Amino acid sequence: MAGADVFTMEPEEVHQSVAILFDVESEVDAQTVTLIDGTAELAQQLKDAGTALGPALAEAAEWWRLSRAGGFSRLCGTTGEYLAVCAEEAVEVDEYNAGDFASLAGHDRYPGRAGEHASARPDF
Amino acid sequence: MSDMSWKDLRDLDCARVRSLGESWKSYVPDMIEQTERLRNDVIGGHLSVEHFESDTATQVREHIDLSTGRFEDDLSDYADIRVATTLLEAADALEAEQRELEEVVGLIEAHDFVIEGDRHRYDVNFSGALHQAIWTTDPPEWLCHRIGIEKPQGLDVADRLRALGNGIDLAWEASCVAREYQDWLRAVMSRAHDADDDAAAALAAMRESPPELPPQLGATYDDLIDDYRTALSEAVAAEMEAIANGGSDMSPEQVNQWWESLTDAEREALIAEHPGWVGPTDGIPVDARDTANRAVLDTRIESLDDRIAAIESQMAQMEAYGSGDGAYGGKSHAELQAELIRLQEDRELLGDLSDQVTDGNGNPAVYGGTGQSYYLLGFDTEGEGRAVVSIGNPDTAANVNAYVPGTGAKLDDVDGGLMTRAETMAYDAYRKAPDPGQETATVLWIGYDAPDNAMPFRDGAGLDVEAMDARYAEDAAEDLSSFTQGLRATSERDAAELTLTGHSYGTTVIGIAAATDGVDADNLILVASPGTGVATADALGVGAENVWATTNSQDVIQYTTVHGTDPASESFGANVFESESVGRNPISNHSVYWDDSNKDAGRNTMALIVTGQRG
Repeated sequence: MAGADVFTMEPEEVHQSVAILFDVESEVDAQTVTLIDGTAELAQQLKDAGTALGPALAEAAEWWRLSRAGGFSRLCGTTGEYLAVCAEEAVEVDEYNAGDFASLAGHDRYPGRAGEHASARPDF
Repeated sequence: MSDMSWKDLRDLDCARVRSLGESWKSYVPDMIEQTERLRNDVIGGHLSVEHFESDTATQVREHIDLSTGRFEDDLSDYADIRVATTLLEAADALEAEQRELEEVVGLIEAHDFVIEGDRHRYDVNFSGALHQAIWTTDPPEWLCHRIGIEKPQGLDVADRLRALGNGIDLAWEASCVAREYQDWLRAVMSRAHDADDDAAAALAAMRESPPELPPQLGATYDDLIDDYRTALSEAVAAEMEAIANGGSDMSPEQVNQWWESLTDAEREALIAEHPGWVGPTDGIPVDARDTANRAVLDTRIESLDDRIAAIESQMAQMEAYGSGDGAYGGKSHAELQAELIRLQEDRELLGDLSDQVTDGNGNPAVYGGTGQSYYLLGFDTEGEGRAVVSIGNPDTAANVNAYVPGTGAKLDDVDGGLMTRAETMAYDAYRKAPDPGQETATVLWIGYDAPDNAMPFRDGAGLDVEAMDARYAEDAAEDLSSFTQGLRATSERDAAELTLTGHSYGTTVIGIAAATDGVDADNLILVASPGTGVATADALGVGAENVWATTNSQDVIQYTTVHGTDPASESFGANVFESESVGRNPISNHSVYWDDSNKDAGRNTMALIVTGQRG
């Protein structure tokens, strides 16, 4: 990341941003899963009826869940983690390391956040 | 590929498909609520410059903005335009075919026929009971009624012998009815399979080359973000190219939604930089298509002028300094001469087209009969050439009438007789409009390669009559279907009346498009038809009550209905209206429908249909 000539930060405000990012991540995932479950059920019925739409719908829904809505929610999550590390350290973090958040996740500020998954990411 | 049987279609829960489409639609604003939280509460709130300022802070805000923008575009392009609209369109299309299926299957079962054969080409045959009833002198009452005899009563021997004597007539009539139902059933299933395949293709195509997501923050961010920004700026043009080249499989309605989702600057850039993609695309509004097509036309004319001048110059040099064979692109003088003639022909065609749609000051020309401007919706010089020109703007008009001409139609006719017919129809709709403010746009649709001749000519293999070949109509079906969907998608009036008027082979084009791909029209007018490829108006998918047919008493076409049942015959089931003949020449009477002699008869009726005053 770029260096900074000017640096001011209010860590509590940044933590509030993180909370919103995590909440958006969770909302997007939850509403998408509900939609995709309903879609998969109908797609199966359409498949059974010999339609071409059924299989195409099933694949499109899964693609949406994993690649597009899922991609966005992951970006919300990783951005939140990055900001959380910045706020916790109260300095500008040049080289973001998700391992830092993994240790931070064990703290009380983000209870239940899956810090254990951080090691699965390429930047850990 | 769609493999629905008629029973699958009958039992399909279209309401559930529609409900799921609506769920995807309502999911979009729910997600936008989340992106708005990021923009308002994070970027503009807790993470604003006031609370966090540094190079990295700026970068994080930009990153959240980019990710949010990407997701909002995805919600529009995929969740809304692709998935939701595909489901809603498929539900509407399949439900419409389901209703027709219910009707035709009800008739098949009520008349004791059975459906057999392959689900992509059903046969309707006699049931054993019907077969037995005919040949054991106990034919059903409906069949006796169709051939005008009384059903044998009780055990009266004389009655039964009479029925036996009519056995062949009864069997023949029953087979005709079976054929009508078979045509109808096949048309319904063809349109249903087509709608199903189109929906599947639209969903599959969206996954083929989606834009990348923004990179996540981290050590490699600076290296990746520039590539992402570059790809982002090219994404709109790439999508337009895929739509124009058929790679996106979006319906015209989806194309229209996509177009409307672009910013003004993006739309203007596409028209300016890629008019060749914008101009012919169904689903893009008429004003934009017209602007793009005129730009392409001007460029093509300039390019032809340059090439003609270069060849003429080269030929002059060859003539001045001897043969000089091969000096220009390796071409001989004779080859250059041939190319020059071809280019000059194209130049003349395009010049005539330009003159038709442009006035002396370079502005859109106006048709004096109605005061409406001409709009250029498409053109092409390949083969015999194609053109789609409208008198009046279909997007803003209350009624749209698209005229599909028949044998011999080509680009050359845009400033000739076919345009005169379109202008006559425009004038008729104008003079018969229920109120002066009600505008009708009249489109001359030469969007297909029409047969060159209706009379026998000798080719290498023997005598040939191209107009007897349904291939030209089959090749046109998808384009005509798409064109009607595009008109509907871009119309600014929900209740605009859309009519397709065909003449001669043009009615075959309309009929085959309606029975196979389906057309989004309120009325079909079949003038001097050699047949529509189906046995009854029911099979055309717009409701028999909305199908209109006319053939004057002297027209030669009534003896040459080679593409199925004559639409002007009673058995076809269309509304038949009168047209005046002139003299007794059967050939010339095929071309008098828009003459003054037919003004008070057929022309008035057509104008009333087009303006929604009949039916």
